[in-house]
Amino acid sequence: MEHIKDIELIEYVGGTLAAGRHRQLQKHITVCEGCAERCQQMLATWDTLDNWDVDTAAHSIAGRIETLAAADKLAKRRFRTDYLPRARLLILAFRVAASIIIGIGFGYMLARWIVPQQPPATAASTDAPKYVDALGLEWSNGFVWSVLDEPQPEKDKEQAQ
Amino acid sequence: MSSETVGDKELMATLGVGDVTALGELARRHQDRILSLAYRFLGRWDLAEDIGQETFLRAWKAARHYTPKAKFTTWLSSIAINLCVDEQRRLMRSARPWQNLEPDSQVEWDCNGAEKRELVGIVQTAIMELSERQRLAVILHRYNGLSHSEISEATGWSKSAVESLLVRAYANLRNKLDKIKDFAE
Ligand SMILES: [Zn+2]
Repeated sequence: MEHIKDIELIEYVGGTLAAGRHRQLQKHITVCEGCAERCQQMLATWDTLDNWDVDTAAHSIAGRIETLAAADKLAKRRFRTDYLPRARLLILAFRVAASIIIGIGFGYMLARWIVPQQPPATAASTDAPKYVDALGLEWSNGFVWSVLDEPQPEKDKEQAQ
Repeated sequence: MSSETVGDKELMATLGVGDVTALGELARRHQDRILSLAYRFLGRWDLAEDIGQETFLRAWKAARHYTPKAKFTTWLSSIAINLCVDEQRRLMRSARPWQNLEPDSQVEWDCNGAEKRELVGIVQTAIMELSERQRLAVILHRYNGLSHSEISEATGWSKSAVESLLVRAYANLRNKLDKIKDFAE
């Protein structure tokens, strides 16, 4: 057998090796002086580290954790009974409002799509007809001459001939 | 519920469906492991208690979705480790690394005499002087009994990285502690 790898020696001393492998290493240490010495050194370090024992008795946190958990659970239950019905009602109101807004918007878009855009029924004239002068009236650009178009003289002449 | 025959994983399942008494039982079972880990890493009891409390509260929050893949204690340790490392970094950022703090250990430990106290102080200092990762690896291996595979699971570091950390950490400790051989013998 090859010499024991450092990490296996550490695991061997720490007792975290599988039972079969532990026995193999144990056997090797009994016949290999070098590995036996390394094992002794590792054991010495291991035992020295054992002096740092920590007593947690005065620092128990279990009771505090239980209290916190129970308080949190109680607060959640209170929220469920006090606020959840109101919150649900509010959500329902939002949903109804959103449905109405979406319905109106959709209806408007649909109407625009179905009814095509048409040009104005009559063309507006912006030139002042000659009879306005003849009658001594004043021409206003703000008025749309949609009906009282000036008769066309060229056409009249042709018809006379 | 408080019976020791109920396994940790069963207690987590009970906790997952809202029975908070299971949390108390888990805390009673494992607080020593978590408190000592946090204390050894950070060197202060007030911080260790905060980390311990937060570890169990996080386990509670995770209980609904908890699926046992690793050993429960390894999973629980991984929560504590993350909190410890975060706390250590927070202390470093606020320019108050543990080295500048008065560790509250030496007055509180139940030590027999000055010689024992001195020995404990030397061991503590030797561990605290290791790099953050070596320190964590050694604490988990030497004091929490995790194998190098379990340390890999708990920390998320590769197995080969943990192997190398442990080998270097124990070698460093051997060098540092050689000077106190007389105490030990
Ligand atoms: Zn050998």
